[in-house]
Amino acid sequence: MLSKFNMILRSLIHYWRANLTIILGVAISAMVLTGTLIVGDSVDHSLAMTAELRLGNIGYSFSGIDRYFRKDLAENIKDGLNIPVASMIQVKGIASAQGGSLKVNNIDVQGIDENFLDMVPGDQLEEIPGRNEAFISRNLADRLELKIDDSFLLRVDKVSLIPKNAPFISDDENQVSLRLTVRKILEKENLGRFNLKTSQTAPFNVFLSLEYLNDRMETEGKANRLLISDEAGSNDDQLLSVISANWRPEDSGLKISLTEDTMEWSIESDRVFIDSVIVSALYEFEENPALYLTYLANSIEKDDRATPYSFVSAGPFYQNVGTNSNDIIINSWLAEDLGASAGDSVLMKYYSIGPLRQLVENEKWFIVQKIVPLAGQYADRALMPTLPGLSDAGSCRDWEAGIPIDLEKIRDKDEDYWDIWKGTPKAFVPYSQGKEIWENRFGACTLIRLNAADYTESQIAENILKHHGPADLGFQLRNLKKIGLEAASGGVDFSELFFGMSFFLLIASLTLLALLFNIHLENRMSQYGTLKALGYSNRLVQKLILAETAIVVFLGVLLGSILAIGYNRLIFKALNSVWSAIVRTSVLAEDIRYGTILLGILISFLLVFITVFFNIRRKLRNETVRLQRGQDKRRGKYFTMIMKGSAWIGLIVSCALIVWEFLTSSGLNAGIFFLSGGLLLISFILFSGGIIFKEDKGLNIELSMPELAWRNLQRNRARSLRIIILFALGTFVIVSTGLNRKDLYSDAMNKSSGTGGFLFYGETTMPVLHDLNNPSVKADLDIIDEIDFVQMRKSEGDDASCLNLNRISQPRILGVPPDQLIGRFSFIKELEDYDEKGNWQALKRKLPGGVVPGIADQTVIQWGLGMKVGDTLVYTDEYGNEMPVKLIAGLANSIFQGNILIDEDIFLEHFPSSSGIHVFLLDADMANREDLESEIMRSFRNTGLDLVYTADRLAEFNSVENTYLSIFLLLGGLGMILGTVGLGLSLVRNIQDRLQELGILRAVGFGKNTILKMLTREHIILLGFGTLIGTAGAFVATIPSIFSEFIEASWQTALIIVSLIIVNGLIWIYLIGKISLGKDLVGSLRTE
Amino acid sequence: MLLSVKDIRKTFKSEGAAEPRIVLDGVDLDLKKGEAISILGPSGSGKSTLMNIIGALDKPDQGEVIFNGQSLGSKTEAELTSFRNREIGFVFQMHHLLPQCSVLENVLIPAVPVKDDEFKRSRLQFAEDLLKTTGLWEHKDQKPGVLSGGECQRVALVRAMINQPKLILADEPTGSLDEDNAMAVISLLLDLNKKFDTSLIVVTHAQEIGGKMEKQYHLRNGKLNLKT
Repeated sequence: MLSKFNMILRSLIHYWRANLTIILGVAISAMVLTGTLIVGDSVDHSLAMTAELRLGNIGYSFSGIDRYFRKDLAENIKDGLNIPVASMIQVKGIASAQGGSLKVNNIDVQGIDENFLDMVPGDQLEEIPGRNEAFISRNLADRLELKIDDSFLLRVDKVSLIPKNAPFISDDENQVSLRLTVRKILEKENLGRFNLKTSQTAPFNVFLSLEYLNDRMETEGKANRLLISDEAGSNDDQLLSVISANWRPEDSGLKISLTEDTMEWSIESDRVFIDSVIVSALYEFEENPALYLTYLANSIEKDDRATPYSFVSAGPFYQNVGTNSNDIIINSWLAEDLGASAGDSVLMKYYSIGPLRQLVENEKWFIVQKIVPLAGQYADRALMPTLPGLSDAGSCRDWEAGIPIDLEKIRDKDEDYWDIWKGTPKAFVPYSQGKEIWENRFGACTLIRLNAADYTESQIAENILKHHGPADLGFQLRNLKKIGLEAASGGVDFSELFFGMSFFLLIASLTLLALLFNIHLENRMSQYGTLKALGYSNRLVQKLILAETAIVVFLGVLLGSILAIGYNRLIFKALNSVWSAIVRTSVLAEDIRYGTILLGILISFLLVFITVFFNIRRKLRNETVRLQRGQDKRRGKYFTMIMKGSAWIGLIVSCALIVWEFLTSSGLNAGIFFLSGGLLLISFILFSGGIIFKEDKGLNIELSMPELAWRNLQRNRARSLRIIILFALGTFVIVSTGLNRKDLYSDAMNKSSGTGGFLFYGETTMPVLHDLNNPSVKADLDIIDEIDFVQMRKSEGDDASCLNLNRISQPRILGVPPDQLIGRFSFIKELEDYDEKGNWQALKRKLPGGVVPGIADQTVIQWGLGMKVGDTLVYTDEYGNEMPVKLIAGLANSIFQGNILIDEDIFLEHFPSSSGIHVFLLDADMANREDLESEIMRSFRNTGLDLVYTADRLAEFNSVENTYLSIFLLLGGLGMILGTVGLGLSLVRNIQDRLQELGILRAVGFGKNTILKMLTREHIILLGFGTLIGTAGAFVATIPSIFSEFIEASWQTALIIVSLIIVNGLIWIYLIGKISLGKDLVGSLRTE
Repeated sequence: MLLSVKDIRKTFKSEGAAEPRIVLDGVDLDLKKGEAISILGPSGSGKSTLMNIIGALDKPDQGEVIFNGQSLGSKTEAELTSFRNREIGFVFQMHHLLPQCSVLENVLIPAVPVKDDEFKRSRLQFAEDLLKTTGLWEHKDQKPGVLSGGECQRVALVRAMINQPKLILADEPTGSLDEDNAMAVISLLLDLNKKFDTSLIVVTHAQEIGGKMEKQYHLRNGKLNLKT
């Protein structure tokens, strides 16, 4: 017995060719849609996996900026928490092998102890490296061509407990060279990709024994980072309280010792200058601590006599002295040397040490209040702080004081004084006076003394710790695992990205599907009419068709989902190779989730089914007789009116947006223009629909061939419109992509371009401690005078450029000198109260509430941070205080991408320990670029300099965008192929429909070529319409690129693309027409 | 009276034409049970339109079709669908067989929407009887694609009979057949008309075919006249 199911089955089998075509059409749509979902999942999974790989079992990191604590702190905390905790020293290094021919800069060097092994997943790492041994990451081994047991040279940034730019600290021994043997090469599974920064890229890693590293850097027992296992979960408060409970004065760099001569407790700092927060903490429990500030004076002069290089101490040497006093007490040795008596005036010369060791010699007159013997409190050697290079010097001539010492000025009597009294101060000034002239960003005190009778050592420690904690010194506890996973999940949404890029392909595939489906429906319309005539209700016929369609669509969607896995694999292969510019990692791994596939199937099914459902419904609305004849009801005039009305609305909105953007915005917003272009595209498509669906006005008596062609196009209006849509979409995508591509090197030396007109961008592994624009520094480094440097300080932070796929919340801060950047780069967004020229100077503004003005690339603001100009980022500065940074302007695409720029002075206020500069821009003549490059590299050979041509750096960022455009272009090209398939199908179908008509034309004397011409003309109209509409839309969408001085819109490329589209279409029209017309057309009359 | 067509008027508005064209202009027709009539007329005279109106495939602008005492105009769409399924058997100029179904399945297609299961089940036997009667049984498993035009039209005729309708509407049933096949189809129509006492209206422009019916009507200028 024939059942409905049998009828459906029979139809499925009988029309297998048509169904297969539809299945393929559906599969393309489903593949694109499900594929984009899988790509998104896979990238998310890969980023999360990267976070796991780079952190292993590490949950939290605890560290400060240039701060060191006892390595045993880890043991104390471990006992308190009962979970793995490890101390480490992390520094930067430069590795070289094969006699220096292979060199890698910017290496993360980690000094680890046994506790670190607990941070490595599994048990692959069972021991730590021995002395002179290293574990290195696979990428470093590959780069240096190292195998196990090979040796290499590692230069590390020497850890110094004293800030490197602190006064009187020598910069002569800033590096330690280690000859190491490779004991293990770490793969990604055992922390080969170890990275505490949020990035999918793997740094180069070297692991050494902490004990060995401490030994070589003379920092025994110290560490600068604490790692806490992820077993701690997310419990910041508990961890902080445990850390605070185990915190000791030594961890704040303090030493408390008893000075037996005076029976006082002396409090000193490893950092020479005692942090102001510690001094404040002391005042919390001791009203009157004895504060000392001992400084090195260049000379103390009276008349024509001068005593060189004397320590002068500011402290409580006076009773009832005013803060503005210029009194000075000198010891008998100095009095004799200068021939000075009480009441005489003496001139003291001393250096003020500015940023980058800029020395300014200042002088001040003092009046000798009294002369004291070299005894008692005036013969206290301990007043001189421990200064490496000075304290341990055998003679004055051995001094390494971090300032220029004129050895010729040093006399024998000075050497004799040093031999006997070392750095015992020769003069004494009131503390307030010393503070006023010698206070610097590191502090205003070198020694604090408390009466031993009042306190025990432990009471002092307890009181100090009661009133300050690690957070006050800028130590931060960061839940790296949580931050990493959040950044991974909140990063670049590849589902969204690929969906956006595939959108036009999806629309094209759905349009093609509608075309295919309609051809199939048209073939079967008379059948549906017959069924209705035989007593089938409309609903039953619809049910039968829908059931049949549902099966076909489902099969198509299933196939599409399988293809989606392959599509994802192909995209990943491309992302791991030719498109790697946008992911910067090779660890992308696919992650196929059943849920996602099911979701893809569901969405694809619904999307496709909705597309065909309305076609079915519309067709079945035809009367039975019309259906049986295979005729389709003409759309009512309202349809045309709605179409035209919508077209006008689209056109008006599009134009209004363009005019509004031109009138109101200082820069052209690419998004607005893309929207306008898209609207214009839709509007033109609707207009062409309006024309095609327009009612015939009756036959023109003088019927011409073009008119005949036009009438033929109106035979199947929907089909004609679909061809126009397919070509318009394909052309729009391809042309707009072509016009948006950036010429990576045009205009590179223009000061308003993204390079700022600078020639080179440099980043050093080791800090540069000097002002490179200083002629004497230039001379020392053998750098020619014509080169100007813009030097920038950097804070620790993540790269927020388009090269990082993670969503970054705290990008790296660069402290820049605004005056040197005026007239450089261009701004595309700024707050209303800032003007174009004033943006750089505006960085110096002091905003209410301690808010710091900041500038960043607009792309970083918008995409990297998901913020806008005017928004505020909150950082924590070195003192543990909040440092809100308000984004006052957005730079046009520049080499600063990934950073937040603030004024360097403000930077130093918040990060005083910042040791030198790591980033600089170099302004020089382009002509001798290569010579210059090698000279600079030679001059900075010990700093691990990575010097890049600014245009190359900009091109690297632009290459990301260009890669996206390439993907867009490729997907647009696929859409174009679908358009061509649609055009071919339409032509074949048209010829099939009109076989009789064409036979008659042939019979009445039309030549085959004339018929071919007529058919070609019809389809050229469609092709022309589609291409024209697509090009017009693309033109509007890319106006910002066309008018941009930074983007070289490639007209040539656009012209070639449009020509290729047209030629491709013409070839297919001609070929398909020729083949289809090869049949015996007159014979078709007989068979019919 | 099985069928009464009263004062049917139908106009069509052509594209570009100022006035609607009157196709049927006050058509009256009565048909008794078992009666076989033909409607003759030139192309475009409105014969098929009249058939479509009688078969409830189209609606008149004016007038009424009464079938078995009930006006079709008062029926709902669902009732009209059921009416076409159970009371009317359509035969068209083209056979419109479903190429995906076999001969037997094509014949049974009108039985699919029937809700009466017993009746539905009995259709298989009836189809067998009909196909045997018409000499098509040996082709029952074949697809229409392998049959001749005449055979296909005979299958279409059997399909029209499968639900034992009271009226067969045959619109140019021989229009696409050669003379021999045309005569065979007409003979079969008349045989079935006699055998099952089914009324029959044949629309044709061929005098020879029309002459085989009991009564002959002429449709011209929208008016239907009995040929005497």
